[in-house]
Amino acid sequence: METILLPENTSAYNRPKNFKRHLKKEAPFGVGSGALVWQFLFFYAPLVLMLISSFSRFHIDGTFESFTFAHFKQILKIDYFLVIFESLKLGFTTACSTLLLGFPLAYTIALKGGRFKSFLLFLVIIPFWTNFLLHIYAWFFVLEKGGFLNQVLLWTNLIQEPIHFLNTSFAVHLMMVYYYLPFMTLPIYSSLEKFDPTLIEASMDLGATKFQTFRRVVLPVLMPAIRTGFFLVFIPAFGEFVIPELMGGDKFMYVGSVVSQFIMGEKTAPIGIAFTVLSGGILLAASFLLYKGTFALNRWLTGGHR
Amino acid sequence: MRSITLDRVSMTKRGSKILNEVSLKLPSSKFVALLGPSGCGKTTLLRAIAGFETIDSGRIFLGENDISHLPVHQRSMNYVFQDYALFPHLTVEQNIAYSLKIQRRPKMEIEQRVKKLLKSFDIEPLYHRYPEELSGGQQQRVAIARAIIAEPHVLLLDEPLAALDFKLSERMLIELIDLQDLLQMTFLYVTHDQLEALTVADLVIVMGAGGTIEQIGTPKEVYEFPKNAFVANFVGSTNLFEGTIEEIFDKEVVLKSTSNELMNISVADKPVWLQKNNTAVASIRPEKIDISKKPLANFSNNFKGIVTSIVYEGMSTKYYVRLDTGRKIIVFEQNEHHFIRDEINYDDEVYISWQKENVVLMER
Repeated sequence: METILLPENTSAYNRPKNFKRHLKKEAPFGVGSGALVWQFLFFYAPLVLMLISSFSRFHIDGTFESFTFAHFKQILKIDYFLVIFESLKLGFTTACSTLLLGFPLAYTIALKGGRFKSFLLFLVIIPFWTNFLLHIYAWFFVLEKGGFLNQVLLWTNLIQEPIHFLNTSFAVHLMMVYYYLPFMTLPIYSSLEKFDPTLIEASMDLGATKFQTFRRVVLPVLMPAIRTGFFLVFIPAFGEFVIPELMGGDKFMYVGSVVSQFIMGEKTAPIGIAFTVLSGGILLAASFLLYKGTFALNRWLTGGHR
Repeated sequence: MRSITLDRVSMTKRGSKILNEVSLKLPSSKFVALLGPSGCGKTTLLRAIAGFETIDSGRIFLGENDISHLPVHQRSMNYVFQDYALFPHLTVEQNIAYSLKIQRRPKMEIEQRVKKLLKSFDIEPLYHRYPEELSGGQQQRVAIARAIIAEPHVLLLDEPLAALDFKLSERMLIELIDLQDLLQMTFLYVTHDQLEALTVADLVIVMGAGGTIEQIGTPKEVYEFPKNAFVANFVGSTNLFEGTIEEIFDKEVVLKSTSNELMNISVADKPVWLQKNNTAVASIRPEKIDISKKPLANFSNNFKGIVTSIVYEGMSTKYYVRLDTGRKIIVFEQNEHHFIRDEINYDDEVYISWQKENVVLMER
């Protein structure tokens, strides 16, 4: 007679009740430590250095002299705050516009895509394959005075005179939305993929109209993904440098341009750093408020109580 | 409470008929089970009644009102989904209150009604939890509470116990019966489990493959007097004999089966098809057959055979017997004693007998 030894704890049947917490306890800490060291050396340490140097005066030879608020005094002017405000506005409008475009796009691909789903998703990502500068120059041809867009508008008799699109706020925003759209679309798409359509049926069955269902069930369930997409767009858009520079000419000043001017300028680097710290602080505060705002929005959507 | 009437409801999906001229009238305030094999269209029928599916032809009434083309949210019925479909972003309390909030009921009223349901469903301490923090049975209760809070005329249940383990589903079944009794709502309960259907229902609707209704009746009627071979076979297990009518007497006929057994069958009335030399099917339930190692007296049908296999099920035992004619018969015996005097074993020669009154004769 052979004895069969059944190993204990082999399969999923023996999984502890709270598997996630169990994993958290059991997973070796070492797995993430490499990345953590990297992060510390090349991200947190420079950040601290930057913070210190924004409050410091240096000798000509680069050695530390004393602490000072002088750099900050230089930038505590209404003009610089207006630049930060403009950047916040740019980030916010970009995030909102990409949401308005990206949500229906993700919705269509995820729920109506059928067997073309992967292909359609692939089309969303494909622009990343070509160099970004190439996109911008391509858009020049579309937007310039004799460009494609003007030709179409003239040909359809919508306008009589060609319009200046380049170096306008419109061109900047258009390009921002164009570039940041996938960052909004992808998280919403992946969340919609997992969305259980019977929730919609359940809501309608309980008396809700299509609109009420969208407001009270679809949007709130997707809110974590919308929030992710929003900040994936909002934060980099705030600091965006290339697009306003190239599409807006020198007409529009955003945080990125100001920082670059200070850093490149003679002896003004510490002011640039101070400005980065200031704008970063304001961005952090604004993000925090917006983050809280999404939760308040969610409570309002679900007709909040408690 | 109003109830549902279906008038020749048909539906075709991708070229195949899912519902084929389904007509029925549900009695109001009754527990009705819609029983059928997987893929017979029973869930589709339920979804059509709820309004999730559009029917191609026919009409659906709630009371006197034609609701065939009413959107889902305007039909006063509620649906309990197989996987519950609880809103993951809402707490238990908010889930249950959903339909009342949509109706813009006063806050006080909502709170009171939710509280009452939480109490009667025994889930009061869970009111602040989210669905993912609940067990299957608890989710089930929340789903039912959410569906009945608006006091619909009809509650539609789509295999609500399929995801629960045996013990729990047995308990929930009894709770459902009590609930229906209390609310006096019409429950339309879809299931493929004949035992569930027979247990809960006041009325059983048996649906066959191809979206047709095979029989409507009380559990007892459906089980004891199946209208056709499909129902006899699907509801419970049975022994079917196809054959031709050999002889017709006053209250009795003789059927000669395809494997040449001659069988006496009692008949109460004589439908048109019951003619000499016509084909027919006879059904005899396994539990209505007696089995013994010695010949049994006073039975109207007696056969001899060999036991080919025995399935011991604790409470009862199933014997598979091969008759001399080669036909296989299932016999079901209660295990009434610890020690059986004359235990039947494999390959034993046995006598099996049944009364002619216990046979059901059906049109072929």
